[in-house]
Amino acid sequence: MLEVINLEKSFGGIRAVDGCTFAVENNTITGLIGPNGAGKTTVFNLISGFYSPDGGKIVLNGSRIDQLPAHRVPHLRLSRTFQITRELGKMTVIDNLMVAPLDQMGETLFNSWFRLRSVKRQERKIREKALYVLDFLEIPNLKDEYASNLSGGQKKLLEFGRTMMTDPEIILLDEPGAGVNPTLMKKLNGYIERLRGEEGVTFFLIEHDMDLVMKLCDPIIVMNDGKVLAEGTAVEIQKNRKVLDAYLGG
Amino acid sequence: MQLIVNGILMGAVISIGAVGLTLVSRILHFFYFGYAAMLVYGAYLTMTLFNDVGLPLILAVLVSLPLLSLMAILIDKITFKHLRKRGTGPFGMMVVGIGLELFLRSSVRLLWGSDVMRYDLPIRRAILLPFNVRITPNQFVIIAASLILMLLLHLFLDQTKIGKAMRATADNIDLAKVRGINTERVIMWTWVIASISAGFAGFFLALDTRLVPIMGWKLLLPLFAAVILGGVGNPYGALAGGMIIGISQEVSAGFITPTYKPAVAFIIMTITLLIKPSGLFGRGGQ
Amino acid sequence: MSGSVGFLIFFLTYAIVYGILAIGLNIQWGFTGLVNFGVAGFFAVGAYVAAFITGAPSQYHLGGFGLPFPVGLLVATVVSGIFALILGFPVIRLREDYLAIVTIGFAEIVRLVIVTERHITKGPYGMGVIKPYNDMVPASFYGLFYLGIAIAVLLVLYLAMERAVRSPWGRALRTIREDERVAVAFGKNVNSFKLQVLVLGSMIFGLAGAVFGHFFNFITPDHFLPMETFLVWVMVMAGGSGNNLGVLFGALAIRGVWEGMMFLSDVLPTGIQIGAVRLAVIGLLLVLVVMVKPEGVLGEKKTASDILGE
Repeated sequence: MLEVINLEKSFGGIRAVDGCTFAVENNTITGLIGPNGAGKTTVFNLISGFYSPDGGKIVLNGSRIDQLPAHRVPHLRLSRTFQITRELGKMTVIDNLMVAPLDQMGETLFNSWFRLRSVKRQERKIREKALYVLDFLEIPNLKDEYASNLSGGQKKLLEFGRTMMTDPEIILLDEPGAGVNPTLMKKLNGYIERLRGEEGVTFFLIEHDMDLVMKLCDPIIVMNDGKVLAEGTAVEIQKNRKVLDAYLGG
Repeated sequence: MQLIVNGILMGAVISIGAVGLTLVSRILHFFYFGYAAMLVYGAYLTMTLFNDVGLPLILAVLVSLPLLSLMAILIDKITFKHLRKRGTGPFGMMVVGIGLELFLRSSVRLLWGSDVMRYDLPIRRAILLPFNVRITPNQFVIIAASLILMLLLHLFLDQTKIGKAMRATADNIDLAKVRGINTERVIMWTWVIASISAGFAGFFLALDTRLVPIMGWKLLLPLFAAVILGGVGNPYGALAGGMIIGISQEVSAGFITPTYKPAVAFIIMTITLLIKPSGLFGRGGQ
Repeated sequence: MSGSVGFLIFFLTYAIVYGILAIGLNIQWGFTGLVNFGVAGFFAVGAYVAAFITGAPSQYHLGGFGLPFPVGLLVATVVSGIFALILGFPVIRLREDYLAIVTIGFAEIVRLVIVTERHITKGPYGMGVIKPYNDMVPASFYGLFYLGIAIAVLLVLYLAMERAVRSPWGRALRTIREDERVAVAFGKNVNSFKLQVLVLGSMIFGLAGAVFGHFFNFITPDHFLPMETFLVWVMVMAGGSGNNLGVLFGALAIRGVWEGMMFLSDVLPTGIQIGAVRLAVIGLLLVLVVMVKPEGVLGEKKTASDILGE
């Protein structure tokens, strides 16, 4: 589904991603782990188009996406969250969700002025979907709250919900577990499993919580110094000598 | 040839002013429009000390500088220090800076009036140099003095402890903090350097032309152009940028209506921003 | 009509001109977070273009095409938009502080051109602008009549902008203001939205210029000093960015302060220039708004898009 081939990116002479090659298979929950500074988030930013690579290729469903402007990438049904949550603070929770869907006809000024009827029809559908997402995440009561008033965990949920709004085939989660309490984490795991099972969504996630990764992800990709160090099932990774060295030595 | 000499003169004024502005822009992390008012205050304070108090001109300039620094630090304490603590972004700071510029500029009008003024100096005739170039003794003094100032600034930034700390902070603020540089102290010194830089630029400009409250605002666009061209936070870049802007502005007067001089600065600045926002020497910026 | 009523009409018409400007800036800054310090430049373009269109033929300035008033409004609006497009196309992607400097530079250059190109604009001497429909309205009611026109323009504009910002389009703008990266991550073409907003807002400034010129009947480069830009900024920031009613309230209040200071000249010692005091007060207000009340007097509405009326 998603292939990364020989990816390279440097910042001011430092090679953050240095010839990285891996693939994320369809309908998996693929984990990306590695010590701090291994280049994981940079890889995410490259895939989602926020950075353009210095070398290599990124292929999504058979077409190259590494030359696309960042705002085109979501249209290929790839959605992402951010390591540090980026909620739209001065907007309500439901607005945070409703802004997410792509190709809203009401986002053209002309339509908003002169084709209000069709805009309303689409808007109603988007609203229903947003309400469904809030129900799915069990936070319907937060609908009209300003996003800035949410707790850290709730913000994570909101970001997760926002990706759902775009009907993605693949979701990139950057540390979904960071700052989330164990109860909520368990729930989030449930949502991820459910989306994969029921809607066939592929997940690719960065996570530091090893217990979580080992339980949830298969396969797991390990990065170190901008390169892929190892790839395999949780059991294989746990036994891998190089991985242990990287974590202990790095 | 005359245009080039005019350009060097203008370039000297812009360069001297741009050094302070580039350090303020980088170390305080916003574009300070109130800098124009510092320039104007420098020129007017010097005038009062010279014309009215009767100090010798050089002494008048030197006395005006600590007054200017004091004012700048005081304003910083009242406004920007609070905003820094509150984490106000560069835009909010910039708006406050604009407010200060409007306020201070009109205070000049209220204190000294809006009429055109000049330093009470005997009018001396221009000297005729080879190639039919004319230069007044005042202009000669401006060019010579700015060269000395540039040298002193270089020595300050290169040799003194606080100068080095300032350059380090301008290079990389986060790194400077990690290395234990006291940023509030650096900011205070930045205001001192900015006052010296603005004070001299204002004095030179007034010496070459005359004093009007709007003079600072009018120099602001070329100053920002010089800062951006040289790379925000790079004092040597600002010197070079100032020269380039000054010379291109004056030489352009040979081809287009002279009133369009500021447009030349504007175009150079905009092109720099579009092609290489980090400036010619690629240190500041993004 | 008595003097005080006449003054009230004058005051309100003037306030409406600034109300139109404030609504234009609110679209840019209030809803989108787009910095434009060149308000006065577009305001000037609109005023001069409208004056060329509706004026009688003249050898001293461009045009005098003698066309009807509504054509003047329309062309002024469109031409300002074209200026915004030409300026915005290359620079819209710049960081906000750079954009601030570039737009302020643009406005200064517009003013330089007006001062310099005398054969087009009559330069610093200023240009007369016609009183539209002068022959159809009794002179003593003309002020009131023109106030009516200004109110009508403002009303149409207000309704159109309210609908625009309360739509999914407006919600996308708010998203850009809150966090550009999120907007990009959800497929919004941020630069396109920003350019649309720069052009739309600047068209509104142009419209304001046309309304202003035909109200004041005389325009000079001095009507379009950078200070005008910051006057509008104070109105928007103090009135409440992101709230169209708020910024209209801001426009009215700040115009009130502005005109009110004229009465100060009776109190102040002679020799104090009222112009300088006004400038100082505007400067102080800018400082205070950021330091004391960054969200303005009236905040924005909670719901971004409410076209469903829920």
